[in-house]
Amino acid sequence: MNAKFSAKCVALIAAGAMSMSLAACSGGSMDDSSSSNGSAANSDTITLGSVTTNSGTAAAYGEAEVAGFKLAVDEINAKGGINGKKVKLESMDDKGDATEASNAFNKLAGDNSVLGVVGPTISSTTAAVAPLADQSKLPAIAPAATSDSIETGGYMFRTCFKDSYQGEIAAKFAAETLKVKKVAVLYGTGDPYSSGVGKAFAAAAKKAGLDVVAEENSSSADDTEYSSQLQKIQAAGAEFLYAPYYYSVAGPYIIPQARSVGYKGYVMGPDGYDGLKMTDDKSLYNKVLYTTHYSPDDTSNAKVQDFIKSYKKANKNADPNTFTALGYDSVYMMKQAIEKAGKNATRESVRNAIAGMSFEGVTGNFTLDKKGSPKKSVIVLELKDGKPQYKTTIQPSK
Amino acid sequence: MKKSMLSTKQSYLVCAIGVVALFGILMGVCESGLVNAYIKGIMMTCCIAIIMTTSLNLTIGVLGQLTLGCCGFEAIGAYSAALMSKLLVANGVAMDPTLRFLLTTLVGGVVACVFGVLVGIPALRLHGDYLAIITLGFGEIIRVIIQNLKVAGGMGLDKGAAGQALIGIDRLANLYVVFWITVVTVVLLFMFARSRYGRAVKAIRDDEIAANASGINITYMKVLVFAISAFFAGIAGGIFAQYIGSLNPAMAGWLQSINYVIMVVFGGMGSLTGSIVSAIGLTILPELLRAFSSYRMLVYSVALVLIMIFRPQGIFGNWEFSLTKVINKIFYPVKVREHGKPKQDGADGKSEKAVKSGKSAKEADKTAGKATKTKEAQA
Repeated sequence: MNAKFSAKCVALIAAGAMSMSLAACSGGSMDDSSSSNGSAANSDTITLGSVTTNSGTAAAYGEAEVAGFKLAVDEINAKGGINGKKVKLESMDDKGDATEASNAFNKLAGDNSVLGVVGPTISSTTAAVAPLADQSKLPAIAPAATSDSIETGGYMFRTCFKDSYQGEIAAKFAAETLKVKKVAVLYGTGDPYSSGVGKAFAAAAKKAGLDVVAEENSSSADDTEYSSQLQKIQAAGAEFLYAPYYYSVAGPYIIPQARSVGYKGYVMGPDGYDGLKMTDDKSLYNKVLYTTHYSPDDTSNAKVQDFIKSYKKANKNADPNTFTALGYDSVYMMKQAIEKAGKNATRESVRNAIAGMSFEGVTGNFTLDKKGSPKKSVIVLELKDGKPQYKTTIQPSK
Repeated sequence: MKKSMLSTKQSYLVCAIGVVALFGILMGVCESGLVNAYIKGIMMTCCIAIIMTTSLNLTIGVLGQLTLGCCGFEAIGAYSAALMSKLLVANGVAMDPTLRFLLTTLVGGVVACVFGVLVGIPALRLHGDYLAIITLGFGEIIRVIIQNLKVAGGMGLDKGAAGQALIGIDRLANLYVVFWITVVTVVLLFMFARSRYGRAVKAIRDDEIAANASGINITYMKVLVFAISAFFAGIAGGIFAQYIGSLNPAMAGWLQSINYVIMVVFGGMGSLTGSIVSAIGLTILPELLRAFSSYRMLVYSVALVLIMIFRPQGIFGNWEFSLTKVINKIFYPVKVREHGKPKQDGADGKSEKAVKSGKSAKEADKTAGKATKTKEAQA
């Protein structure tokens, strides 16, 4: 065969194939809305999908959520299911990775019997799944993804309050319950959680008429040395310090260092204080408060004790944690929505039922706002000799 | 002798036909609705993994330098492409989506390439473990910088918020276009590896002092390879951004990079076809193992350990799959043996073999295709 001729052939075929691929762009597009109008009306089971982080660094969160899902599904089935149909849980792991979460969600979206999804676990995977939920019209409720940026206003909802909301609630608590005047805030600028909550607190505190005497920050949320910032805060005469950090930093570093520069006022944090790591001197941790989703000592909510009782019964006396409670509530939200959508529930009708729903659960009573985040009551815990004690429940401002 | 075997040009033709046939199959299953978004998503992930792994193999396998910063470049490419796309929309530039996708992906590649040069010049003075640590540090630096950039969080640009995941990126990635980008990437990498430059790079890998003594500019070559590798990592990032639709600074972390290093080692260092097979294999494997639910990561790890025990050189070693060779073997069995023997001139056998296998430039795509086919069969 003539070499020139072969070369021309190759060029021609390649050019042809490429132009073909451009012309046929629509076919290769990742949209796949054709298979999305699934209805589970004909089968006698309802399938709920779950995408959670069961391996990797955040595995403990995902495992706790799945325990909550399972408990709720078992309870629902024991009471006759939803609209007379048994509920089946299709559980998927995402390793805490956005690509894996998308694959898992797509797999569920391709299965027409799946009416709704609970999950994903963490904010970064939820951010990846949110546009997919809108695209495949499959409603999803994330139990504990608190980041502000996952809101789409479409098919993505959540059970937990969002980060900035915690900051607002803390400002309200400082102004109305503690009745302090001079407040300070310290946060890590590099961390979405820390900076998001901290900035929201500062804005809300100013609005509530509090005097923000110091607004300090660290470059990341895992620094270990905060003395210079804390000295400024102490010098400014703050009575209340809001320090949104994780349990592994606030416990061993921020609080002891604050006490050692002579600061005696309140220290408050968000739900990242859950499981605070403490140094030996527990007296340093008095006047430390934090907001959270759920407390086993919450006496104002009757559902909490029932939930703890049935969880202990099903799990060899183990204690449920916040993620279990949020997961449990997420499944019940799905149940309420599917019941409202009726016997011929479709993904779209379930979505419409979730949007704006009012719900009473273990983690509080709430109504979902337009963007799918709840305005809900927040629990405040106070440490007494290193043990978290239920302090109060703050209702959302109307 | 030559007459009865496939000539180089003919073998190109065979490979081109192979790639087109593969594309035909891909189009066939997509158009006929045989595959759903899940399978398409996995195919897309495979393409991204192929680009990342083959380009990383250029640095690790062909140049012989261990780097752990490939995801830093991927993240740079991803963020550049995403922000470029947002910038175009914000300025009201009306553009065909495919054109916008190609343009922004290219921008991602170029920006990553520039960073590759900037990092490469100081870093490549070091070897081995030291280089690995420098590149590891680079990935972390990128992660922290992105985390603190206001334009690269939230909705991006002027509506951005530092530290948040970047969301609302238009999901323009199209499987057909990405397929061809992958093909072009692999072809270019093959052509580079078998070119004059490629041979020089392999000489550096095998004996740096000897290569220097024969007049090869070592620093230039190393930076060149590093930059090419970074460019394609940036391209992969651009595709990833416009496929997933949201980006997180954590993607630049070293753990992600390790994943791709595993793929390279698994497939065989220096073998681009091996990289393709392992990229596809290791992307699909966790999905296939979904049935094992909580044991799936265990099975995955055991599979990796077993491969490393029984085939420490990786699945392909430094052997390349070649469609031409297969055809020659089938149709001209005797000739091949004659043809293969006298070529060993006693030079460094390892690099010689690798250079020869470079002949199979486009065969790689064919293999890529094979695996995609298997994938589809599983669907």
